Amino acid sequence: MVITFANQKGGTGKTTIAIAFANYLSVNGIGLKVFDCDFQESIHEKYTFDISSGKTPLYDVIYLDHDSIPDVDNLIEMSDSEELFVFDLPGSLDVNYVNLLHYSDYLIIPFEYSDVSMKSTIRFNEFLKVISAESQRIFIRSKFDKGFSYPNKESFDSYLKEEAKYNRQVSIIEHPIYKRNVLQTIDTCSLTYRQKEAVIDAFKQVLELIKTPIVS
Amino acid sequence: MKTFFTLVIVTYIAYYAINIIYDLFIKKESKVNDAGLDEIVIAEENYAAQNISIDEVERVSPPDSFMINEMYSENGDEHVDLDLDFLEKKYEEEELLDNAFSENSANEIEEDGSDSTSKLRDQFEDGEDISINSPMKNNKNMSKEQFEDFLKLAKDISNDDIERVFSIDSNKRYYPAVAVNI
Repeated sequence: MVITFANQKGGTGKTTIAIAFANYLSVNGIGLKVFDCDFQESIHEKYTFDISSGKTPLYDVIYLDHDSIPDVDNLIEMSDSEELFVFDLPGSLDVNYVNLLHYSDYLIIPFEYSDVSMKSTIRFNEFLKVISAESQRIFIRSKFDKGFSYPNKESFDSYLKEEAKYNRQVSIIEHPIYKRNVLQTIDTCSLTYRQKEAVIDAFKQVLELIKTPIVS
Repeated sequence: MKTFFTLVIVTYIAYYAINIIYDLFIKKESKVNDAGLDEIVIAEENYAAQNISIDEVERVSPPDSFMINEMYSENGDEHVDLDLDFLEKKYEEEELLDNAFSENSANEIEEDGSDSTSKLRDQFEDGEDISINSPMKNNKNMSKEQFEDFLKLAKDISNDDIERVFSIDSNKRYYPAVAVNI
């Protein structure tokens, strides 16, 4: 199975959520491999730092540059495999990532309620529609502050609900990923209680959608 | 009186002597900007550029010697001697220019992809399945040009949704202006 964290807007929390997600699956006994496709190598750097600090990462992280991204045949093979492959894409759209967007089993799309993030998320969704991407799209609220009243939140939620209503490929995670400082210090070796608390409700709902049996 | 003239002459000589010393030893040479050496000035300093519309060009009345009547005499009813070879050559050259222009335009449209994007947009607006244009339908890689086309189309299509999401006033919060004493 291939799960890709993507959004054409940078800074929406893709990498942090991808690490938290991979950690959550790993600590619950699901083996996986993480592929870091972001040129900033954020996950890969954390992984190598963790190893050099004498810690034991929960999974392997492999950095992939433009030329190393799996081709169509490899992606189809990975998708059919019982192994779980998690990809983290950079916050930009590029022709090199189109196959991943198309052939991933699930695209997890974190977004914020900022104006730029909502606009980019709409554009990203329309792009996936026009290329007829086969992947299931899971929209997830990121860095959510429940004490803040976000302008245009309701109208953006209506847009997503409408998308989900007419397109079976679109799902919206009801529980947000909360804005928590503890997520800033996440590594590839563990998921602390406070970190788990920030993501667990959202991840449980994601796992229900992707039908992966997880004992929480 | 003699003293006065002596003073004037001495002052005169001193003034020019100081000027010569200044020019020879103190004055710095001004640097010449090489970039401006090829510049040709074709107008006077007070020349001001003007925008001229095509209508003004059409209304320009050139001297009579510029006017060539190729087909008819001045009264319009009597044929003049025609230089058919000259006219044929001129016609061919004009055709060549016209064709060259239209070919260039077509190439430009093809290069920036706007033509293929508008074709995609038309298909989309007509409710056709544009996914048939996607190479991934046949498990092939998307080219950069195709990617740009789809990206442009997605951007165009998303504008309506963006406008809708951001134009619902009931969901916007307005903050009162705060008076600040400075």
